[in-house]
Parts: sequence; C-alpha cells; structure tokens
Amino acid sequence: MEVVFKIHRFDPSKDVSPYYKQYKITIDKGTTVLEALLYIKERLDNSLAIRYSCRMGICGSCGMRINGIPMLACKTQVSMLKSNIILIEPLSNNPIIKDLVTNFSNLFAKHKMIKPYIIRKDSELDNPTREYLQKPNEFFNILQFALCIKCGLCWSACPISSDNRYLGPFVLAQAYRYISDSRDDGYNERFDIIDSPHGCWRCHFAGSCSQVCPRGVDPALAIQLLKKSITTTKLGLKKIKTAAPVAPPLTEVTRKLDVPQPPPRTVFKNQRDSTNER
Amino acid sequence: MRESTLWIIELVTLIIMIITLPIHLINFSSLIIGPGYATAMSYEEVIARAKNLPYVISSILLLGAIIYHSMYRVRFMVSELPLSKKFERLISLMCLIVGIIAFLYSFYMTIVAILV
Ligand code: FES
Repeated sequence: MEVVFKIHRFDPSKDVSPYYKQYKITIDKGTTVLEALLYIKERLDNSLAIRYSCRMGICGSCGMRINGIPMLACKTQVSMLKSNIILIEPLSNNPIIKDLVTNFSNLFAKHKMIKPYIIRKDSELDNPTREYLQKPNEFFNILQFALCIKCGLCWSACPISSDNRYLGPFVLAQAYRYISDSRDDGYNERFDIIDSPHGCWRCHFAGSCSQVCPRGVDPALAIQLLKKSITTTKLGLKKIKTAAPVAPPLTEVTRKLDVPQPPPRTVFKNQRDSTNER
Repeated sequence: MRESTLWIIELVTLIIMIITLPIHLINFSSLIIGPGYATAMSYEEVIARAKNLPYVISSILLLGAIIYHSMYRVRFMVSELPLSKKFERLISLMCLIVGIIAFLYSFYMTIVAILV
C-alpha cells in the first residue's frame, strides 16, 4: 500500500518557521508509524529527527501527533489509521528541539516537584531491613497509576496544558499514585504543590488525557481523586492514614516437605574470590 | 487564600444554588402558569413579594452564590493565560472587588425594596 507521510519539519537553528515535507513510501500490513519514519530516515532523508528507544511501547520516547492525535509511533500501525495521507507532528505544549523531538525538561522538573518516590518518617528506607506490608487491595488501588510511562501524550492532549505552569495530567496522576500508596507518609510534603494555583484545581475534567493514554491509565480520575482527598482532608472528613508497617521478622518458618532445595549458589558476594571458593 | 479553600466555598455556593434556584424559579413559574399572572409583575405585587422574608433570604443567598461562582470561574479562566504572578494576583483582587461591589449593590437594592 502506498502512503504519503506529511511530516512536520523545523530546525530552530536554521528555519524561520515550521513547514511540512511529504514522503511517499510503500508499507506492508503491520508496518508501524515508527518503522515507516525510520525507513524515511534511512532511505529518503537522513536529516529527519525522531526520538525512540524500545520500539515496543514501554519507554514512552516516540510520542507524536499522528493525524492530530497524540500516539506512540511504535504502537500505531499505519493500516489502523485508515488513511493514505498521514500527518505527523510533534507533541504540542512542549518546545520543539527539532522536527518531531520536543523538550520535556519543564515536565520532568514538575514531576520532580511532587517528589515521585516513597517518603517515610522512619529510617527504614535509609537502612532497609525488610519489606513494607501492603495488602492486595492497597496495591490494586495504585496499580493503574504506577503503569504510567511518562510519554507526555496526556500533556499534549490536555486543553489546559498550554498553560505551562499547570502541573498537568501525568504529574498529578503520579502525585496521586504516591499519596494513595499505603507505604507512603509524604502527603503533607506534597500538599502545597498540588494545592497551588496551577495544581489540581485547574483541571476542567475534559478527559482527553485518559483517552490518549497508551497504558490505560486514567489521569483524569486521579486528578478528581486528588481534589476529593484534599477537600475531605480540609473538612476533617478524611481518615488519617498510617503508613504501612515493616514486615515482622520471619519466625518459625519451616520448609514444606515437597519443596525442593534451591540449587547451589553460582554468584558470590565477591565475584573475584568466586573461582577460589569453587 | 488557599486554592482548596476557594474550591470548598465554590462547592458550598453550588449547594446554595441547587436549593435556592428552584425556589426562585418555582416562585416565578407558578406566577406564570397561575391565574394571577396578569397582575403578578405589577409594581405592588413585586414589592409585596420583596417583603416576604423567607423569599428575600433565599434571593440574597442566591445572589451571593451566583456572584461568587461567576467571579471564581472568571479568575479560573484568566489564570490559564500566560500572565505574570503579579498580574495574576491583580486579576484575583479585581474579581474580589467586582464581586463585593456587585453583591453590595444587589443587597442594597433588595433592602430598599423591603423598606419602600
Ligand atoms: S519507542 Fe519506546 S515507546 Fe515507542
């Protein structure tokens, strides 16, 4: 099948304004947009700038607008688009570095602001001894938000993200992911940034972030849950969470009779000595 | 004031509107479909209604809620523009002043109607 790729080109160091360049190529059934772009780069125009890494929808590097909709190029088959002319543009709401590559610095800086890691008041994290106890339902509460790959498609789809100070869907979804984690104790540390003028209250609940997420995360839901959490906390209706305790030491554990012994160790603490020990 | 506090006030105003707006509409629609419609909008009738205390209280609450809701949303929309922090604060202050003036004026008019 012959397809025309109309690709956004812009090199800020040379071009005054962006323009579109067309490439006609033949694709097979199952060819992804990323494969088509790599074909163009390798055979037709090596000056085309694209960002990608895993080619399997995991790293989140290859986000771009395909026929106007933010998608992962490696996860989108050309035949799915049902069109012979395919418009390829960079993600919106981010500055363009070159052609289809945008700058995520602002997004990652905001991500850092919400402290995307487990915060504890005890010293267990500095000196870990055992795991924290987490019930299956507590794990499933955060699971979908933990699947986020920070590809920025939600940020590009969000109608409010043209306001660059708005925290944005993926940052807020990550804030919710950590706040609602039963092991976390950092609610108060994140409160000020989420409750800021450009925090969760700016969301209009358009829901486009959830529609474009390639991992099935629902950032719009996370933002509404954040609003609920802050409101109930302020009204004194929220139960005060105690962070999950550390698992007690295992006592009286005996191996089941039918469980075989593990094989002998092959890697030793000090690998250099391993040959002598063997 | 914190954003969450403004949001909680917004929720309260929404509850007030849900309660008082039907009272306001039912009052007027019953006049429209009722037999007294011809005279209902006359000066004497309007003043008589304005002296009915429960109706006056519900009207003032409705006015306050609508003014807060509209000013909050105006500020909400303006804050999405790429403005400096200083200008943003100025807009918030203007919304507050316009809201207070609008409320005081409508409150004054309601009280004047009662005192006539
Ligand atoms: S290349 Fe990794 S998600 Fe597409």
